Amino acid sequence: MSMTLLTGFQILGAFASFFVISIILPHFVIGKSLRFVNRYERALFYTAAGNFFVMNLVSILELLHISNCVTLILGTIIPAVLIKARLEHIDLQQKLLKLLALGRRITSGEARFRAIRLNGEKERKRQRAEIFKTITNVYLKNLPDVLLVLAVIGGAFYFFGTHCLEQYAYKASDILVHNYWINGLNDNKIFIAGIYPFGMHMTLYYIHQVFRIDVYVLLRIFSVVQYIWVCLMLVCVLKLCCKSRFTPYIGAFLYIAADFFVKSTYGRYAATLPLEFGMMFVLPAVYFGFGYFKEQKKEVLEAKQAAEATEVPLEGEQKQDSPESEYEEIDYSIPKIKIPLIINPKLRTIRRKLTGGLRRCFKKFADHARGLKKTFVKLNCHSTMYLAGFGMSFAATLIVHFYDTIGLAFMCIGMAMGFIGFLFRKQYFKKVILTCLVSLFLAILPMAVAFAAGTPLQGSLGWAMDVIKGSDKGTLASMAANTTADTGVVAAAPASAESPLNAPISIPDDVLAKMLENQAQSQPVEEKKEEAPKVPLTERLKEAGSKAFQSFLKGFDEYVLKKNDKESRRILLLFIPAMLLLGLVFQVGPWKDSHYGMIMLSTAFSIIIMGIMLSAKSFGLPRLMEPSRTSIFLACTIAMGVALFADSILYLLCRFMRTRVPMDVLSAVCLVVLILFCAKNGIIRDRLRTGGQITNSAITCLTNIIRKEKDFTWTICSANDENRMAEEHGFHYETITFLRGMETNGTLGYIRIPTQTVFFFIEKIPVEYYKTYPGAGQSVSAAGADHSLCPSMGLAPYVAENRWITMSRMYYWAEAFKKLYPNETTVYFESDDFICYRVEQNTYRLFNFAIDYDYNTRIYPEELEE
Amino acid sequence: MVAVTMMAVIFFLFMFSQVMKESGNDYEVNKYAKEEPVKAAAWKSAVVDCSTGTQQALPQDWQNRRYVAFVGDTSSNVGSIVSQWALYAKRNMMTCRDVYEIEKEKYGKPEFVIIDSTVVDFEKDFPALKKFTEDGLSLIFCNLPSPDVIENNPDLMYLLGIQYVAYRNYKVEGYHLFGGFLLGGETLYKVKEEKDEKRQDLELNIPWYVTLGGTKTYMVGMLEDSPLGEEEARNEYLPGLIWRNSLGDSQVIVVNGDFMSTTTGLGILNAMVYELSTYQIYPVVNAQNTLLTNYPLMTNENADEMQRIYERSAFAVETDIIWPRLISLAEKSKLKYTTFLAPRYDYASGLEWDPSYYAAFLGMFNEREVETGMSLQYLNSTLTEKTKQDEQFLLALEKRYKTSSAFIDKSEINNVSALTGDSFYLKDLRTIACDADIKIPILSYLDDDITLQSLTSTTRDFTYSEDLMLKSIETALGYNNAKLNLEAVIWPNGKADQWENIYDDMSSALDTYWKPFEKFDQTTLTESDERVRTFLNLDYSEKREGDVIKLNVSGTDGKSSWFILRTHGEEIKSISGGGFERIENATYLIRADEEEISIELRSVKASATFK
Repeated sequence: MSMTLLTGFQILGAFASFFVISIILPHFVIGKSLRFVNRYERALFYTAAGNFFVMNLVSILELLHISNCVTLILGTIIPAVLIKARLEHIDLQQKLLKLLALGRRITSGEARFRAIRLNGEKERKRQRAEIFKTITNVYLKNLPDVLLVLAVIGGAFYFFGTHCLEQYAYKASDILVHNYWINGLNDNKIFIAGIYPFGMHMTLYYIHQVFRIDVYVLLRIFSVVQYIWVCLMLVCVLKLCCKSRFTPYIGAFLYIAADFFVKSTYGRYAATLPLEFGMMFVLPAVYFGFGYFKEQKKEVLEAKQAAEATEVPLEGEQKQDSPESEYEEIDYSIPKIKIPLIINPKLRTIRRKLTGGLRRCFKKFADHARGLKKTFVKLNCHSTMYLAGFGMSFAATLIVHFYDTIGLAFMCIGMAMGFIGFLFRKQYFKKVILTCLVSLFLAILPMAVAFAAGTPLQGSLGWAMDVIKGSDKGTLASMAANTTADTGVVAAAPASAESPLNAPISIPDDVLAKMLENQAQSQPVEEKKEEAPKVPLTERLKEAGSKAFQSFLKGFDEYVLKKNDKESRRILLLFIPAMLLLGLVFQVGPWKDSHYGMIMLSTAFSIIIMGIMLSAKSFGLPRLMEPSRTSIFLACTIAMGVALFADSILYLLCRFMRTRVPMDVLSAVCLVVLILFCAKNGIIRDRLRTGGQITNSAITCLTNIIRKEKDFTWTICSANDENRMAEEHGFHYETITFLRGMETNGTLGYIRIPTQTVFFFIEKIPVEYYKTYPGAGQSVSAAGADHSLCPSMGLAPYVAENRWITMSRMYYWAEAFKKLYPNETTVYFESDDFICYRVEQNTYRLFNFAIDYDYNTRIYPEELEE
Repeated sequence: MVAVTMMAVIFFLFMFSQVMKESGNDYEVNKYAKEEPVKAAAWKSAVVDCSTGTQQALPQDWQNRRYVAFVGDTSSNVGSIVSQWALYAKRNMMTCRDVYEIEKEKYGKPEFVIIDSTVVDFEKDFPALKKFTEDGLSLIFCNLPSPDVIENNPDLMYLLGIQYVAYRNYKVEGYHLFGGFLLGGETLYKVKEEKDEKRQDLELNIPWYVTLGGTKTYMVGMLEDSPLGEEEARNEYLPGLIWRNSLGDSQVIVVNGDFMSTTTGLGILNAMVYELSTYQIYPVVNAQNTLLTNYPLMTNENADEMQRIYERSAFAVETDIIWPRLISLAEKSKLKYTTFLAPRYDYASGLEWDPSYYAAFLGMFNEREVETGMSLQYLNSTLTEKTKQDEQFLLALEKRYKTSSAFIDKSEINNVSALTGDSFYLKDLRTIACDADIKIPILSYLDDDITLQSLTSTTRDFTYSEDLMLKSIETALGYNNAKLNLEAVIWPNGKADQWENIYDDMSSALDTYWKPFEKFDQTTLTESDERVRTFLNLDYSEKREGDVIKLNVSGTDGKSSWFILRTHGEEIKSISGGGFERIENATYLIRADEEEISIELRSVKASATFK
């Protein structure tokens, strides 16, 4: 099996594991309780509930320092069984007793397995028939949908997954930091580098522990799984919002395959990053919001009708109809308190007061109990269920990445504007706010507990706050990130102070010049504003409006839509006002479908808000998120909006037809036409291609070592990346530390690595590690080795020309060492661009790796200058 | 009536089976002695002595064979061991007493130079030694000069890979032999329990040399607490006993101790060659013998003592007490015994032997895989007198076993040839075993008909130095010839000689010290003789092409021969012309059935594909 095939199987394994967490487990627990909702809604609920549960389970166990494979499995099974029993009214005690009795019968020989098996044959036959029926009903009757969903998965894999089969390494610099944090969870050290949203880390950790997939494997390939899941969530949400059958796939097609958006809107999906992981909860949260308004409206209306009907209630009728009747009636009547008759008037007064107090007390308790019961009853209402779904998704975004919450907040503002007629009503607003507060509390709680226990905040939280505040630090960082995003290189978030990536990565000169130019441009504008002559208000408003509109368009041009053929693509944006218009059309008149209209309005407003946020500064608003990150949410919302827009047109046309068939046919035609149009005009996106920060050979070699060598009997001496990748299996030694240990000292240096086997990873053609240089692509050579080592700390010795020098030095060291220890040093793996040396040593008598390999004992001009 | 009949039937059945067993027991036949033994045609290494000062003609075939240069006295113990090793390793040898006498121009470049430091004047000879290393010639120092000489010569220290002399003489707690050097793996020769104190016979007072970076150490002295500083308390600072220093293309192997003047040196030399090469293939005997001397006795000797200790006669002790235990041990450890029958041990006792014992014992041995040889040891007599008396005993027997092996005191080896001509029962003798002696080769031809196999270990009071020697000989020859003195049971010298104690010693020795070598074949002495002859006669050459080693074997007379292949991490993928078995990590026992054997190796490398 080749490494490519192995990676393919690893992706399948990760997908299956995530499927268990997100679908199978929740289906087992709440499947029966959600019988009344359709399968797309169920998928959203399952995803939100499954992941929310896993994240909370991991955080609880981690905070208790008892997290491991066993506790995680028990922590999953026990609550799952208990919740299932509670929801389905299963008497666990009775079941357990039955099971014990059965065990007793079997052990005493009263019953035989065969007999028990035969007894259960009927039940199994019934189950088999049910499964067959489900397959027939769900899959065969919906074959087009099944095929299209498979096409979505296949498309998502083709455009965003195949790069993993070609490039095995991590695709972003900060994944090493995430790897470090997940490794921390393995040691029961949550928030190892400070408090940070750990949602993705906890889910990956759970998969790693329970399904035994290595963390470094997950971080390499999970991006594919999470992107497929985001696409599936988009399809589910659109299937639930759209009226026609195939328009949802228009949205999916636009999002996955059509080449309308700039690479920064989807480039980050190449890597397993928290923000992108959190995207899978954003759209479900939005849908749960829509669902809540729909159901709450229905329930309020029903309550109103019920209230009208019960103004003259028939005797005993209310008791039957009220939801409370489903539950055991509790006697809350105030008990009569017998106090001995006291003749003394003073004492009588006291008695009266005492009796009154007690009565009031009991009354309050009775009211409270009734309230609790009502609340519980309400939890079984559909609106409450949607709110729970919203709460879980909202909390999940917050646990995974704050930016997801900010993105969701933009959409929620859009939703609030769409549903403005309902939101601020008492029956709606109170519940929404309560839900937000509860989810906020649940999401923040583990972080708060850790903070209270003395764990400091992680460094990048400060950075994010700087971005939100718009301070200089955030600005510079974000500008650098924007630049990289535009060039298609995955932007790297600044790492923690403790992380190895905290080293200053020098910003290229052209980028720095652009940043300075931007700053220079922004400052005089403010000064000019102060000096501007007074103009009439209307003129100023007109000018401001025009400027705002231009900024709005510029934001789209710069961060969302592809730059070539800009004008024609701007036409796309016309669907925004059209959506607003259609949204209003659906509020009144013969086409009235107010909820559908409000969804249209909400989506349109969301797009507008995010569009404004792209150029927040131009609108005088605080920039809550970098535009390149906002564009990720915006691209998804635009895809959703276009699908809804197409759907609304079809809905408008076919509103009064008796059958849905014409609308479905038209939607299929639209989908096919769009695909053909894009294909014909070359508007199909290229497959995502990424460059790794280490060679494929290094990953292949590492996989060999992890699979073939006994854990913790080996050390890898390499440049940085394998440090975290192999942390659970072996040890790591930094190449630069290794080389510095014998610099100028030669054999007088002292480098001992206390494992039986030591592997030395050397790039024969050093990779361009986040920075290119004029001689990039050259192989290691004596000329490269004949330089002094980079004296800087951090990543600097591994960047650009320094990496070439470091690797050349390492290569010549290895060759010299091989000469000293010819039998103990062997070439373990070699390809055109990479070589791995293996050194076997006696752990009782370690080799001193510090040797004189000529280049380390030379004096270089740079050193003389110093 | 029925019961009586049944009893009679059962009695008959038992008796019948016993009668059948005895009548079918052809104990007089020696299954191990073949009619035509392998002829004596030992391969001999060509030896050139450069120290004579006379120009010598190059021996025939000199250029086509590897040779080693030895600087030292061949008559010394070290010289004797080096000569033996060269013979067994099928190498020619050049000897001289001065390093300047090595004539590379005339004889070609030696494989390496073995140096006995006692004949070297390091002040004068150092430039020559340095020149050897500069020319890429590897050096093996069988011993070291005094620490003073080393300390006063920094260049010599660098050459030997010594960083500094920590102590000129320091008492270590024991030795630590690292795995991968000698066969048998890692071993700690350090007393942990009081009962092991008697086993510690290694030289514990040694000079303490701290080795340089770039060296690899194979054996060190062990310490409880280091007298050096905290940093120097690390393992890397422990006193080195055997190590290798790399100097460019040359390697220098140093032995700090007296190991090379005993047979322990044989295996150490082999292990050094392994360390100097990318792989090593060399012939071995592949035989593990267990000899039971002076067992059984045909007379009821020391009857009173036997009665007192075991409440039995000597015969009963041998059959009822010793034999069952020996059988269970043989089954457990898959041993093959060679017993050396003694008609009488004390020839002054005047006791009459009982011929019935002979048939009883031989029949018993014949049921198991036991060979019976003759013991040529005695008390209170001479060898000639003993053989004469033994002849009388044997002539009186109805059936006589064809004796092909015997055990003799090492002092009387030279008399064996004469005896075989005189004595009728020794005319079929093919091999003789005797106690070990540095001057007696472990394996050799005594004359054209008889081979000599010296003892290599014992099963009683096994000391640390004996264990080191066992490992070494197993490494060099794949051979073990261990003796159990059973006359001590009949003639005890105290409680330690009582059978239960002897048995415990033997049992624990088998379970621990011999265990690593269980992959070698268990043989009787005559079986072993066959293999020894093949080993001594054979010649071989080998060549590696890529991953394939081509081995050519000659002089085996169509018999199978055995080799050991040691690699540095490579594994055998396939073999043609023979078979193989893994002994330990990267060490294989190769059986060569044909003259040309091809061994394909595969290295332990990462692959681009996964299972």
